[in-house]
Amino acid sequence: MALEPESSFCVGMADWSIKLVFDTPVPPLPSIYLADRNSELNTRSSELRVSLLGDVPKISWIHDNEQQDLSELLDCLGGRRFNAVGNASYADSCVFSDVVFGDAPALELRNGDLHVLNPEHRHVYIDTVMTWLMLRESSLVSVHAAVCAVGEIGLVLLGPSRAGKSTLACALAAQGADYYGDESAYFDKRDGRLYVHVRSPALRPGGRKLLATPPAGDWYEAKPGDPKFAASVPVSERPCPSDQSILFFLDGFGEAALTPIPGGEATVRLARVLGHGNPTVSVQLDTAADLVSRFPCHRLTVGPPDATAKMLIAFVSAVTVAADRQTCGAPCSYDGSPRRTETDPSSNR
Amino acid sequence: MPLRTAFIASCYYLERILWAMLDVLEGISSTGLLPRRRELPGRPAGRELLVREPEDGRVHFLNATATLIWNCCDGETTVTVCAERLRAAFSIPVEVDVDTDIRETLSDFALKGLIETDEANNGVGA
Repeated sequence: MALEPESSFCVGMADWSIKLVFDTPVPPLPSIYLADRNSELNTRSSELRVSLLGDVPKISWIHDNEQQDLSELLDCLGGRRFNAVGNASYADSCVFSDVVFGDAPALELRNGDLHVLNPEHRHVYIDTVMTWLMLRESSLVSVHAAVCAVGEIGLVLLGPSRAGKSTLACALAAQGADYYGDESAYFDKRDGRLYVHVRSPALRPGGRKLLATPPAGDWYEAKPGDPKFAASVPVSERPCPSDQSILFFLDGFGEAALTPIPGGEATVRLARVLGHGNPTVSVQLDTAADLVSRFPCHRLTVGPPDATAKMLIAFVSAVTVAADRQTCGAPCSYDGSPRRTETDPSSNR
Repeated sequence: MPLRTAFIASCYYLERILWAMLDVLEGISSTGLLPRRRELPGRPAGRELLVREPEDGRVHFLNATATLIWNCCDGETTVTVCAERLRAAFSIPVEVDVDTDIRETLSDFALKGLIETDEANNGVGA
């Protein structure tokens, strides 16, 4: 969505909204923020202002007419912080390097504002700031997931990078499922409603090769050394079902199979891909446990994409979420050797 | 010297765990009652239960069977009643020795420090 310079508008999702003020040409924004656009939602008087200081875009956050400090955001990012780059000294500021785009200086924190030192990536940082603000101020959490739908049921495919989410989502679309996105999904903690960051799938070479009918598209370099294929898979015109979802935890490659996943394991795995406004591990685990309790969860061994997609569609077509919620998860049969307490080693942080 | 200190500390820790487990099992033998569980915050995680140690942030996940036994650990429920609840909840055949499984689960609880001990003057295990 391209907008004219010096424009302002409200974006939002669920119970969150913010006013965006651009004094510069506006880069395309992810459609997710426009899903529930409604200026009446903007009750928090938050404003994100993007202006130009010379050639350098500056991002400021204003709340209740007072400028806010964005330094907390830098603590949440995965790069390095330092106070000098080459001959340039940043004694009164803090420079952040983004490991995704190499180790070059990316952001400078100055008086609470963020100055984007690599303007060609400014849309990424605007998106990052908006996501951070949304998770911080709203009842939403994000998960790294691909989302498709079969009928009125949303299929949330969860897993780390290279787990096969995008490829499987493409295969699902080819088999007739509704496709929505392959990067991020958002859950409202209050009622479990699902929102999707709608975008075309980005396939890696290995994944594209596995598809029986590879979609058209173009190659690009997502990160240095990580080529991806922007596949032109049409996003469904039907709104993504938000009330009924099933979580599939992608669990390696082999013969396509769905098996139960214990609630504890599902909780830990979900917590690992969760974006949360609260950095406390215990809070994130609680949120993950709530989502696991709310939705049916399954372990999915990924086979050939098309066969796996057919299996998933047949499975989802045959169940209703309410019934599946009763049957999935750890089996409740007693085999004489019950699994007892398992301490989660990753929680000891 | 630090290695020796660590070794002695480990022995002391293991001894305490061993005694706690023996306390639990002896308590069951003498009273027939399950020990009292520690008051720890729990949260459903699907069919399992997430139990958190507030002091150090450790998390335990109890499966459905362990959760039922955990809920029986109130210091008032007998092994017999717990076994009946298990058999009813999981349709367990009569030939299956549930009592042994309950004791092993309680030992596991004790090993992980989930059971109240005598040191807290609340235990019923000894």
